[in-house]
Amino acid sequence: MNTYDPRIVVQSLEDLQDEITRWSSAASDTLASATTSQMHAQESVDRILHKAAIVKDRAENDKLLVESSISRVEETIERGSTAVVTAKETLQDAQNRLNIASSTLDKWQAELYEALAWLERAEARLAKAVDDLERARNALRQAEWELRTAEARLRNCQNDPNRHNCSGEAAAVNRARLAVIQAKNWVVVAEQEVIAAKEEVERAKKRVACCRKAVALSTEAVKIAQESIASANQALNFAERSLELAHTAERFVLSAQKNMLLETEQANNMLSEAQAAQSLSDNAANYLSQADRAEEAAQRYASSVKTELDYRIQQLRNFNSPSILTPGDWSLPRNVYPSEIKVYTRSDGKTQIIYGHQRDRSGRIIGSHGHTVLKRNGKIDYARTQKGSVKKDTGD
Amino acid sequence: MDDLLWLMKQQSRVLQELRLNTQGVWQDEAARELSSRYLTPHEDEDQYMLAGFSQQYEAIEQSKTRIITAEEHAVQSGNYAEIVDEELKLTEQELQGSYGNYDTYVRYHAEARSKFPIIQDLLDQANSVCTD
Repeated sequence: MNTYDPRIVVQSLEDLQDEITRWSSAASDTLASATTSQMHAQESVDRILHKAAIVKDRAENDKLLVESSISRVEETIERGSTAVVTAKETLQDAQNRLNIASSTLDKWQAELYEALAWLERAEARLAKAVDDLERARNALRQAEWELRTAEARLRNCQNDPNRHNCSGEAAAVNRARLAVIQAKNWVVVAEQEVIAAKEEVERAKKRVACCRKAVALSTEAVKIAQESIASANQALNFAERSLELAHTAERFVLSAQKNMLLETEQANNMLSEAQAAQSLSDNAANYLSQADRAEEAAQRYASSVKTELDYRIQQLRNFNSPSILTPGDWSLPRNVYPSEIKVYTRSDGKTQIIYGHQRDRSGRIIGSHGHTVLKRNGKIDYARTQKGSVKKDTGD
Repeated sequence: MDDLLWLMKQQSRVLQELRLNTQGVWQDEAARELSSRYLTPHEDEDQYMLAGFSQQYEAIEQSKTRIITAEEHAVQSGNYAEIVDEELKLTEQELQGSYGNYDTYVRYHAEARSKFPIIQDLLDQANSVCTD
């Protein structure tokens, strides 16, 4: 059994009590801080999860937009390709029609040239026929005059009593009559030639007119065919431009698709990280709960320790205080000093205080000494002075 | 939190050291009883508590790291989203250009083909005008 200096023990127990008090305060502060940290951590997790949901939603929306754009671009390329093929066919068709129109124009221009040449020939024939008719008519007039002259000479001869033979005049009349007949025949032939020539001129003119009409129509057809080619060329240019822009759009949308996949990957990574953060925050909450329970239990023990220490300290103080023993009841040795007081708890739970005025090297009180026994409730059970007197504490 | 936890550990360590020191001046049955009934269980719970706080702190720190990484992914995703947005705008712009040119193509193509029957009619007239 050891003996202790009550004042040192009290001081130690008070220090221990103070330290437990500080511990208790620190634990409460730490728990409060940890709770706040947990709350902030959960708020951060909630925010990042919310943000991750937004980012993920945006990525999914972009995916839909890209897919829609790809679909439209593919349709546009398909349509543009068809347009280019169709425009080329139309251009070829227009060129064919221009070729046909040009051939037709060439043909009718040649026909016109022929018709004009024919007309020229017909007009020359008519002019010659008219001239021939005039000459035939002049010849007829000359023959008729010569007939009248021959007939006048024949009548003069026949009326001339001096003439008995008018055969010469008669022969001349006959020749003149024959000449008139021949001249009349010539006129008739010449007139027929004029009529025929005029008819030919009319036919040639009609041919020229229709050829001119055909040339005009063909020329108009060529002109419109050229316009058609110009339009077809423009159509081809715009179709090719449309296809070219669609291919440019394709390059952009394919790049957008690649970046959309990267965006989605990053959004998924973000969501995974946010979920991991949530899991860690949940773990942290469990650890906090564990710490909270431990802190609560430790606080209970600390409270009990403090209560117990309070009791022990009070006991020691009571023992070390002159008020423990009322003057008159006790005759304490005058040489009692705090260093010579020893306090310990006995096996029956009572506190025994030994005091004397001398210790050996091991701290044990030796020589004349007294002791006091305190019950658990702090009341004096009994005491013995150095003189050996014993008195029960009545509690009064 | 880190500082406070460090202080808490220090406080626990100081308490245990003081407890050891107290044992040097008070080692009777009452001291042992106090230890076994209160101080040792208190130390055990204190250690559980400190372990819980430390694990919570570590978990929160790891959670923060994950959140930072998540934010980085968010920034990168946002950057890609902006590029996607821009490229979709350019795609739309090119598509609108393509549509405009296609509409013009349709107009010219219709115009070209509308002349075909006129040409044919004129040629038919030209070829028949001298046959009457």
